Amino acid sequence: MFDAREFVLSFFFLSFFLSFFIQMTRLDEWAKYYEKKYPKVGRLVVE
Amino acid sequence: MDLISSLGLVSLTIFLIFMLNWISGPSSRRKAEKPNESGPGESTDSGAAAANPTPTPDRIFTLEELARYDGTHDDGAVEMPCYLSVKGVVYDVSIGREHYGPNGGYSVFAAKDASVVSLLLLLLLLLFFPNGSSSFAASTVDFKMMVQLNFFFLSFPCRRSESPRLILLTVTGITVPSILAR
Repeated sequence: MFDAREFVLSFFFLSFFLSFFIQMTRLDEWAKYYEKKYPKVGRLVVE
Repeated sequence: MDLISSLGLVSLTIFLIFMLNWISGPSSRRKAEKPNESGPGESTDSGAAAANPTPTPDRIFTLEELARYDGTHDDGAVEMPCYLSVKGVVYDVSIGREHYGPNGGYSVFAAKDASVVSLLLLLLLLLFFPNGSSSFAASTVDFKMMVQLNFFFLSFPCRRSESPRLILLTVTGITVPSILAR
């Protein structure tokens, strides 16, 4: 059965779900945003 | 029937998100970058400076050390600064303490490698929706929880689109329709 409420909410949910997936490929722009706004302190090293 | 409709919804969502990103994102970025472009005959110093405006300090953080800088009070009641890491560079976000601090909306990103947090949130979503989004009636998630989750994800770093005609919202670099955020 088609449910309009389910359809709309699923669209919102999927939008956010997919946007998190896509943003993993756009980390450069995210880094640019932080670089413009906040001072750098150092580097992170994962051991 | 349910499978067909859910596949349609997924493809529609993917199509719309990519179209919105294609329409709003690159054109505004190109306009902003145009004045900074240097000609082929100019010296390469300005290009190098634009590529790396501020050099990264030599201070090295480990994940354990970074976890201390979450804006809370240390043992000696000293207020610690807020740091977060994106792509291996640590930034001081103490100016936005009200957002990145312990009670802020973006406190998930503080004192961590923020580029991994989004992946963790994806896994969290998969835990909440094991059956897929369009069949949540059969899962343990009810209508109220669905609304709460959507508002939770709306609390991520957002900014308005630069295009005046399209009323869109950009959530961490991704453009989504801002129906709820007007």
